[in-house]
Order: sequence, then C-alpha cells, then structure tokens
Amino acid sequence: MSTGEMFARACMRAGLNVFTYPEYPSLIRGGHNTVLVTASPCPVPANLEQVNMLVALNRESIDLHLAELSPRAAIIYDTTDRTFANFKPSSVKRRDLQVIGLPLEKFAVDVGGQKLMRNSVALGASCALLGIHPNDLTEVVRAMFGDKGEPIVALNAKILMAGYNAIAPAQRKQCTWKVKPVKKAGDRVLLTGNEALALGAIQAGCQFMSAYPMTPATSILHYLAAHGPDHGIVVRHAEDEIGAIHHAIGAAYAGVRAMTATSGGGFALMTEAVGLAAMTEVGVVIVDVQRPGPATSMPTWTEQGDLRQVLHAGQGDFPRIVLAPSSHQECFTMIQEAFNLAEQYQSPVIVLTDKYIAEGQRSVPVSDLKPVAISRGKIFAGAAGKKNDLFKRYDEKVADGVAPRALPGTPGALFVANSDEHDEFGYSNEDASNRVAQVERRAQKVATLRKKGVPPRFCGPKTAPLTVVTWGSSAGSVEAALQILDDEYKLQANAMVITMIAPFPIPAVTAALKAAGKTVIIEANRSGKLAGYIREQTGLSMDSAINRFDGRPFDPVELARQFAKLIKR
Amino acid sequence: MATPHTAKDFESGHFPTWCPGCGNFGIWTALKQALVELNVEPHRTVLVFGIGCSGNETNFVKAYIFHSLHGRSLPVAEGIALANSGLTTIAIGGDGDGYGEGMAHFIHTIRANPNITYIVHDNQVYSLTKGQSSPTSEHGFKTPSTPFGNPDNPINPISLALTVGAGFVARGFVGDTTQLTALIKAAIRHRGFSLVDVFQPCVTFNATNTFKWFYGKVVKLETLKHDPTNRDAAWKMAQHPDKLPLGVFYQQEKPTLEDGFTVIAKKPLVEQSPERRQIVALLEKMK
Repeated sequence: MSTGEMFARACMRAGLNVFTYPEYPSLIRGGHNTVLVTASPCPVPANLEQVNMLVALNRESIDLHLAELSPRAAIIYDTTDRTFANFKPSSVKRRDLQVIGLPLEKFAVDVGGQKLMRNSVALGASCALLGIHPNDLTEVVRAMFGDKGEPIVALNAKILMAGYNAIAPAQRKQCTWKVKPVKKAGDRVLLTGNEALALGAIQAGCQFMSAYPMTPATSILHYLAAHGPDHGIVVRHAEDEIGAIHHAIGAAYAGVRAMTATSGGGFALMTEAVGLAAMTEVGVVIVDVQRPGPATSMPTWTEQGDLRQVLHAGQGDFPRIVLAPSSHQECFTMIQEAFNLAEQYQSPVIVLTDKYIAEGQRSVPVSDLKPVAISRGKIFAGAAGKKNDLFKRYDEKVADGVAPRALPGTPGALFVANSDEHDEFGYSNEDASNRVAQVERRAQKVATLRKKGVPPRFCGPKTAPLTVVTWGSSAGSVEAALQILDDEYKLQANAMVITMIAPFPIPAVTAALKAAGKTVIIEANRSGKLAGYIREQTGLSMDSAINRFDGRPFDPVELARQFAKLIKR
Repeated sequence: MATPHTAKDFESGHFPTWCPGCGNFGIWTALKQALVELNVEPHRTVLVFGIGCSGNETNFVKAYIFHSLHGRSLPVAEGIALANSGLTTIAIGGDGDGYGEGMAHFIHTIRANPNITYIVHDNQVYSLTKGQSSPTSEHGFKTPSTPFGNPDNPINPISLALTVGAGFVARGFVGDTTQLTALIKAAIRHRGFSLVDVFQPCVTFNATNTFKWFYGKVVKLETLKHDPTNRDAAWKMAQHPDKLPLGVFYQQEKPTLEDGFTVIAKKPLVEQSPERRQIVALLEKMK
C-alpha cells in the first residue's frame, strides 16, 4: 500500500491533484491487492475505472485489469516473479500496450534491499516512463522515511533510482502518458477520509475516544491512539462496541467531548445505547464508517447501506442528528460540527461515512482544513446554596427544548441522568402529563435544530436539464461525472448533495427538487434508501435512480454516459 | 475541611419502593453510612446504577446519579472515572443485571482496574421482572421461567473475580450492616477496582435463599483466620464447601487503568480545556 502512497505523494509534489483507491480482500496475506492512483492537474474527486500504467507484480494482475487499460497504456511486470516464468509479452491480447518486463526483485536485492522492496523498483520505473522528476521521488522518500533514519532513506532512494534508471530513453519516448508538473499548486496534504476525520476530532477538542476495532473504521482508532495523547485525548480500546459507546456516554456525562467509531455491525450493537444517550440527554459523537451488509458481508468493500439503521436505531421516539460528509474536507469540518451539535443539543450525533471515502486518500489544500469554533452549549455552573441541592436538569419550560446541563462535581446542581422517563430533576416518573411534557421538550430540540440546520451542498450550474441527488462518497463520483458530461458530451447537469440527513432540510430540498428539471438519485445501495427517505420527508420522488451495490464505487465515466442518456431522452 | 454530612444528606426524599423487609434497605443504609464516615460529599459522588430492584435505588439516594441500561453500569462508570478522576465513582448492579447481561463488562472492567467501587445486590433471582432465575441461582431453582428447575449452574462471583485478577474482592450480607458499611468503606478507599458482592435476600421471589437460610451459613472471614493478602487462600475460601464466608477475601493494590494514560497524570480530563488544538505538525507529516 505504501508504494501507492509514495506515487501519490510524488504526483502531489509535482503539483497535481491525486486520489487513491485501494482494493483488498479480508485477508492478512495473499489475495489480489491493488491501489489505483489517479493524478490530474484538475480536481480529482473520485477515481475512474481506467488504468494508464499497470504495475503487475504477478501474472493474474494483467488478466484482472486488462479490460481497464486505456489505449497505449503501459505495463511494467516483474520478470523475477515465478508466476511470470513462462510469460511472453506477445501473449497479451492488445497490440497498443507498452509491455516492459524488469527483474524487479533482482534490482532490489542488488542495491542492498530485500525482495519485497520490488514495488519500489517498479515505482521508480513508472516515474521514469511518466516523466516524474527523480527529485520529487527522493523528496517523498525523505518525507515518508525520514524518521526511520538516514540509512533507510538512502536505501529506499537507491531502490527507486535503480528502477528509474532501468528505463531506456526510447522506452520513455514511447510512453505517451505523461505527468506534467503544475507550478504553484499550493500547500496540500494527502490524507484518507479516516485521517481527515481523526484530525478533525483532534481539532474539535475531542478529549475521549473509546472504540473496538472494525474494518473500515479501525484506522480512526489507530490514528487517535498514536496522536491523541499529545493532544489531550484519552483513547481507550474497549472490550466490545457496547463497552465503547457506554464509555463515551459516561465520559461525556462527566463533561468531556467524547466519541466512538465503528462500522455497521458495531453500530448495531450500540443501538440501545443511542436511546440511552437521547434519554439522559448526553451528547456523544458516533461515527459509522459503512461497508456492505448485512452481517459480515464484505468487510473491505464499500456501500451506503446503513441510512435507515442510524435513523431508526433505538426503541421509541427521540431526536437524533445524522451527518454525512461527502468529501475528505467535509470529514474534517463536519466532525467538528458534530461535536458542537452533540453538546449544544445534548443528543447523540451520528456521522456516516463509508470505506470509499474512509480509506481512499485525496490531496486536500491545507486552507480547506479549517478549524470550526468550539461551542459547548448551555452549562449550569452551580448554585450558591447548599452543595447537595438538586436542580432542574430537564426543565420543561425551556423554549428551544435544551435545558442547561451540569457537570458532576458541581455544587448545588445535583440531578439524575435517568434511562427511565423522569421528572425535571431526573427522578423516575410515570405520570401521563410528565411523560408528554418530557417527550415534547426533547422533540422540540429537533424542531429548533431543523430551523438552523445544514442545507444541502449544490454544485454545477444553477439551472440545468438534469439534477443529480446524492450523498456521502458518491458525491465525488457524481462531481467527476458532471465534469466528464461537460467535457465530452457538452451537456450540463447539476448536483444536490445531502449532508445533514437528520433533521432533514425539508424546505431547501423541496425547493430544489421542485425547481429541477429531470432528477436522478445516485446511491450505493440496492433499495434506494435515501430516495425513500426524501420521499418520506418531502413527498417528492426523483424521476430515476442509479444504484450500485457490488462493493465498488461508482464509475464517473459510466455515470456521465447515463446522465447523457437521461438528458437526451 | 468539608462540612460533616449525615445520612440524610444522601437521601433524595423519595421513599423507597422496595418491598417491606427487602434486603436492599440494608445496602442503602450501609452505603449512605459509608459515604458519611468517609466524609465524601454528595456533589463529588457519582453513583451509576443498572436496571433491577437495585437500580431503583436511583431514586432514593442523593448524589450525581446515572441510571444506565440493564447490565451497563460498569462501562459508564469506567468512562466517568477516566473523565474525572477527582470524583468518587461507584457502580451498582444486581446479580441479574451485573452477572447476566453485564458479565462481559464485569470481566473486562476487572482487567482494566479503573478506580471504581462495584456493589452488587446479589439475591439470586431476577426480582424486578418478577422472579426468574439468575446467574447466581442454584441449579434446580424453580421459577416462572424455569418451572422444571434451573438447568444452569450458578457462577461464583468471588472466585470469578479472583480468577480475572481483581485487586479487591469482598462479600457482605444485609443481615450485618455494620460489617457491610466497613466493607464498602474499605472498597471505596481501595485504589483500583473493588468488588463488594452483597447477599441480599429477596423476600418476595426467593423462598430458598432467605434470611434464615443465610444466617445458618454465613461466617466471618476473620473468624476463619483468613489472610486477605493471600490469593490462594482467598480462592479456597471462595470455594468453601459448606459455609458462606463474609468479609474481604483479597486485597492487593496494582496499577490502575487511569495510571496508563499520561494525559490524566497531572490533571483530571474534565479540567483540561478542549480549545486551541494545534494540528500543524500532524499536517506536515502528510505532505
């Protein structure tokens, strides 16, 4: 995986925008593992299903990816890999391809490295073919391996250059795919959606994170476990997901900013606790990094299937907030908004992402990673009277539904955070009128937030014959498709990306749909979960839908083709 | 120096809804008394309850209270302890709530050793749901859910806690609230996870393990000349063939969960500001 990252960083240093898409099976060793790096002077919000340069470390890689190879694509293959023992380049059924065999393992070992460093040799060779300057490469090596010491940096640089120098000038000339450096590209970082979210949590002032490992959320736990302690965060690997969510609830009740992160199956275990947070009015942030369901399904692939699970988790009626970042930059900013909303509305806030955005890297301008001002909501600082006085933590009379909370340890502010229905002090109460008053007050929080909520994100021209509705990581594929639609079909469409799922921005979405021409909804699940939810909230349906649920992201080229068909119909 | 408190300072004013003669009254009394004698202030005490007749104590005691879900008092208490090590955090459960639904948390919280006290109301039956067998019910116990006799064998929470490595393991009995008060005090004072399992006869649903039945079986560990620093001896006492020993089975201080987090070495987490985080250095590594 790190070879892909090195290549991505080299392209980024050459001034290009990059997007990486890893594919791997749920195994520790073996299986077919790939990283697809897309680089362009234009923004790259998603990868295309095309390959211009294939590094094949085993024979089956050529067969598996042959259909994706673009005209005049190049293949670098490892002549020293035993699967290539009887391979002849002429057996590849495409005459336009540039097929180059190099003894990758031998080159690595000859300069003092190990056989498994062969992908770095291939990387060097790729860079030579693509016209990436060796300096950009060695700078990346220094940036990535610098803290491992000079000998490691030097060795990696040597291995890369062995590959680079193995390409003859004639071969370089033959390769028509070239990386043209862009000057003044600006200060950027390469990061995964999970890293963006974790960084955003640090920026947000997260103080406590408890989680249980689950693909594809685990790297959030790893990143915060490594860096959290330097930034005032207690990071707890919990015994299970139920422990994790309850740790976070306890910590938040005690007054610190707390979160957990998991995938759909782990969230399923946290269901009852979501209601506990709502009933005790403790603000916690719960991240669900979606993958295909149901049950174990395909752990290392992508899907947008948990919408209804998070909207309806927990028995009974209670307010909740659901956010769905639709870009790497939004992973950074929306997690900060999540912490604010959790504390302002004293409510569970669920942040939905998915494997495609969580594990893919994107180059993001540093200026896009803005801090969001911290807002901790209403806190009662205590009363001057007796230290063990009670206070009305769940005051029925608050107009916006949010009654000030008190942190344990505060004198004169005692109350009961009760999973039972309760009176204003929190004591268990089953009276009919009390029940109605408390349910109504909690529901009022949603009404209050709905007025202030986050409107959808719009992109493309203000009016267009087709409006594409989408959410989450599919937005990147849609944005890329809109660009292709314009460039190659000379047709226009615009997009509405829903980022606050609950409370749903009913007026904004209704207005947009009514003003739209043809509409189509793009989502990575079979049953059209967002489509059904929009219909439920607004009464409106989209004209058509494009759904993908094979675990892979949408192909912008195919989407553009479908959009063109819809417009021309 | 804090103003001396009385038991009344820890009372909410709501009269308990427990059945007359319920063993829970004894635990309520002992807990209040222990807090008073330790000079712990109500506003600096957090009691985390689960669900059961034990959980109903939520409404009768006055402090910062968190009434959690069935089986989930321990992880909430652990979160509170990590967020604010300056509070006295006590988790309260029942044999059904804590050793049934909450068994995984019981084992893993002992492993973590956070500085909390865990008081379990052990009456060997599920009372709030009207009388089903629990993880500490005897084999063959007849209840509405096991009308032909409980097919499961009971756990032994004392030996289980010892096996998992708990640093403070005690057992009390509501028939001796003087001893129980002393046990709860010692448990709160102990630095790390402390278990106090309390025999607490259910006068409504358990006609087998009654006060009379207990009086015939309990014996003080001091009488048996037990050395609570000896883990092997503690194990043997937990498995006593015909008596139910009461007192501190084992006590040994060891590093707590909180000790493992440098972030809270000097100051409780809640006293640290979440503002003004600087991520520039982290971003540099991603260029």
